[in-house]
Amino acid sequence: MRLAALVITLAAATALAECAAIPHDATRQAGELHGVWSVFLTAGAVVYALVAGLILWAAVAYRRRDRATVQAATFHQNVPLELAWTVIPVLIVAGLFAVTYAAERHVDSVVTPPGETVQIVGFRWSWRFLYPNHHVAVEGTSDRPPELVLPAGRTTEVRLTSSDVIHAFWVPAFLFKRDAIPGVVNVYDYTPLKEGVYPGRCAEYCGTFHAHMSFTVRVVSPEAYARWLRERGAAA
Amino acid sequence: MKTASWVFVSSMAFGLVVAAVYWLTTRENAGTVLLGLFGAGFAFVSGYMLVIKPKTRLDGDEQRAPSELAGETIGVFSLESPWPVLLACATAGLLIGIVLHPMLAVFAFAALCVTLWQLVRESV
Amino acid sequence: MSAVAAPPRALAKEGLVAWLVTTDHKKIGILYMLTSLTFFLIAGFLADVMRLQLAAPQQTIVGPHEYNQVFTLHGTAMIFLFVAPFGFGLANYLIPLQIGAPEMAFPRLNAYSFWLFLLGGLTVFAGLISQGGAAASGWTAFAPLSDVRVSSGVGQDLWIIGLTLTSISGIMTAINFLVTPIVFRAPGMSMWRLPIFTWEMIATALLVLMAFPPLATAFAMLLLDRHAGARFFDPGGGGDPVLYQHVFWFFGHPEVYVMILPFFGVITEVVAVFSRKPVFGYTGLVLSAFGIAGLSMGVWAHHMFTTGAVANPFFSALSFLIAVPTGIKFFNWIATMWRGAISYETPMLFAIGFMLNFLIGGITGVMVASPPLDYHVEDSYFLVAHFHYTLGGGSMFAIFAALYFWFPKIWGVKLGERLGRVHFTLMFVGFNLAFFPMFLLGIMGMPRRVYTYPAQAGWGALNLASSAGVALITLATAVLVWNVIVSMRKRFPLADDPWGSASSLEWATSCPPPEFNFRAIPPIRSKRPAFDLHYPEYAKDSPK
Repeated sequence: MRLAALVITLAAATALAECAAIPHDATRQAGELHGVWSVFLTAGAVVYALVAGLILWAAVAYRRRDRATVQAATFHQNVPLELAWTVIPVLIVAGLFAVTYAAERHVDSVVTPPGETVQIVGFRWSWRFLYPNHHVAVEGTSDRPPELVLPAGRTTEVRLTSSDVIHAFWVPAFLFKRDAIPGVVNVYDYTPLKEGVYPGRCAEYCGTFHAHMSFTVRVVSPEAYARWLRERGAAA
Repeated sequence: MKTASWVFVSSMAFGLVVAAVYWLTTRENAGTVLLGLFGAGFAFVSGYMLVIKPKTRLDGDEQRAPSELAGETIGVFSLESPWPVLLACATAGLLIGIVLHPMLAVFAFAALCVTLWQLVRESV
Repeated sequence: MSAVAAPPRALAKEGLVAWLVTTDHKKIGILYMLTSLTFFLIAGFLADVMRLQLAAPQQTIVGPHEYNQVFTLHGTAMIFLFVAPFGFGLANYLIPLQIGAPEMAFPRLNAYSFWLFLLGGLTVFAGLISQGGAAASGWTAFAPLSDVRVSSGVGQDLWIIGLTLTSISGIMTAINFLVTPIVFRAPGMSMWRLPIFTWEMIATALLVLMAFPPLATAFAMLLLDRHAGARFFDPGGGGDPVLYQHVFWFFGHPEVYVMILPFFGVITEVVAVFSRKPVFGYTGLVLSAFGIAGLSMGVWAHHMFTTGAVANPFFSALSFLIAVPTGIKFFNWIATMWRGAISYETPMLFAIGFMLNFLIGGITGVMVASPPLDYHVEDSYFLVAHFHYTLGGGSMFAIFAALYFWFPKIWGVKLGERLGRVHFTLMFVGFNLAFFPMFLLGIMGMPRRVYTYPAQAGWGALNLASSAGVALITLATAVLVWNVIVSMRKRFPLADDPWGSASSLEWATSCPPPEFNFRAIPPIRSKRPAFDLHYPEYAKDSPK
């Protein structure tokens, strides 16, 4: 029993440590998503420790001691036990679903009307960023990845699509991706909190140079953002 | 046959129920059709077992010992036959011909008809 | 009772021709298993190429177009040509034996299935010698990537046709797997006395019947788009790329359960035999097999959470629920081991390895069932790790357990224990070293299906560790092959049950079984007829 408690605590601690390593403060949504990661990693580590512990315990404690043994015991059912290990997991996954559903609703919801809008178009093999309100366009190539500039502390609505095959716009630091599908506009938003430069990747296999379809996201202060828009708009 | 019937009936019921729940919660066409067909498919077998052949007695459900049935023939089983491998080649030729060359598909279709005919002749 | 052979044509008793014309389920099972294991070695070689390329950043051992064919064929071969067909082959061999039947219900249909499978697999690989190379759109072949404008080579068409052939093969096999256990059980072998392996195969066959036709449909639509001017998946023509994913994954998710349910059956048999106890929770194991099968039909769009086009909560809820019947199986296996008398022959080592590995696969499956988490790790190396833990750490380990366990029954020879232990140790260490780092890589931001990655990403060390793990897996597989070669040379007669505590009917006939399987079927009065035959003093304890 004490050994079990120790193993479980260690597992939970490992999970929490792992969780701390996951980036979580780059956007408002990332903070929420990170909370879900914490719950699941901890629960997962505890369940693993418990079940693996039972497996290994049984494997060691019930070693055959007499080579002549052909039937060690005869019990083959225990209805209350079997009901318990059906009902308790249902309750656990119901709890996990509740956590999931709440977070998902928040993350998927979009602020209307949007403060800022950017249209993102994926193509083989780079990205185009269009700021329709400011007539600014940024287009990259595989050799010169484009940079998406976003204002910190403001919500920017993203309208994501593709002009050829399916791609996916993934910013790992934001803990979020969405597919870029031709003929479809996927709408979501980012509320970045921390200034910085974040790498981004295409995350839906799109052919030969899929590996080269990266980009960066630069989150800057609202003043720097306005300045950048003016400069880009003037240069156009 | 009771347990076996249950397998098919519960599969049918599950498919139809999930299809209904899916439609009501999502109103999505493709998934509803796929789930509905899965339920409907099992309706065929369930119907057959419950309505057409409910009184079938199967050997396995008897409580006798197998040795008591020694001498009873349960069926005629082939040990070997050249037609399956030939039929498989014809099938493959037909489908590959569709994408590679129509003449291959035509020849393969002819071969398919011949081998299928021979297979049927051999088994009756 | 007896089966009557059709008038013998005596085409051949020995040699290649005998194998070409056989309709004997045991020979067909062997053909399936040998063919699938050959595809395993080929797909494993392709994995070696991938991991060599990814061992360090920005390498050019293979270029992007070659690498993309390699991972497409690797996934296709492992899924369609190894794991699923090995399960079918094992079931082909075992089902009639386990139910006390002399043959499958439709032996000629059975043979037809096998040859279609082989021809389908060869057709897929034939793409390699075509202009433009083999298919390179992944084992999933999403539209519009797989459409003719983007993937114009005939390799993609050969891939589609090859897998259509294997789908037809699977459907024919499923018919045999459903009819045979229902109709041809020996007297006394009621459905509730069937071995768990046979029950799992019944559930698997139901899944195949429901899931393979949609795959053929998706392929037909894709072929029509590619060559007949259809626009099912082309938004420019009023079509929808997401429709492909709906139809494909409606097949794709049950397919992964087709690839695990037989092996849940294998693990159940092995754990019970080597714990020297009856199977615990037989009813729960049967009901959970059907629970998993049923639920698996309703979760397909959990592969589509990031499309924004599906009702995520519906699929997330059902996906969470699948963890419950899977957990029930785990607890039943642990309870079977509890207060047992466990010995660690190689099959049991692989069974324990299966449980430890599949547990990780299953827990991470619950994680990706949560859309908020999936938004980060979908299409990343986290996902690659998840499905390798279930398919590799799970199904593959169970395949090894099955190989060692039933080898003596099939060939009359036991595989060597010492080499078996070396195989297991190298495989267990290598597998975890190869795939655990991938969880971290995915969380750190490494996408999948990339032929290289930048040095500044900081992913080099974990990738190198993973490649080292794959090298160990390769070595372990070489040990297995060596074990088979060496063991086949030493033959001495084996008892019907060389393991000593087996329970299902195949262990009540010789190693290997005679033509039409049994000279005399013992009385069947419990769930362990072979055990009752060999140890009548314990027959009173057998679960009825």
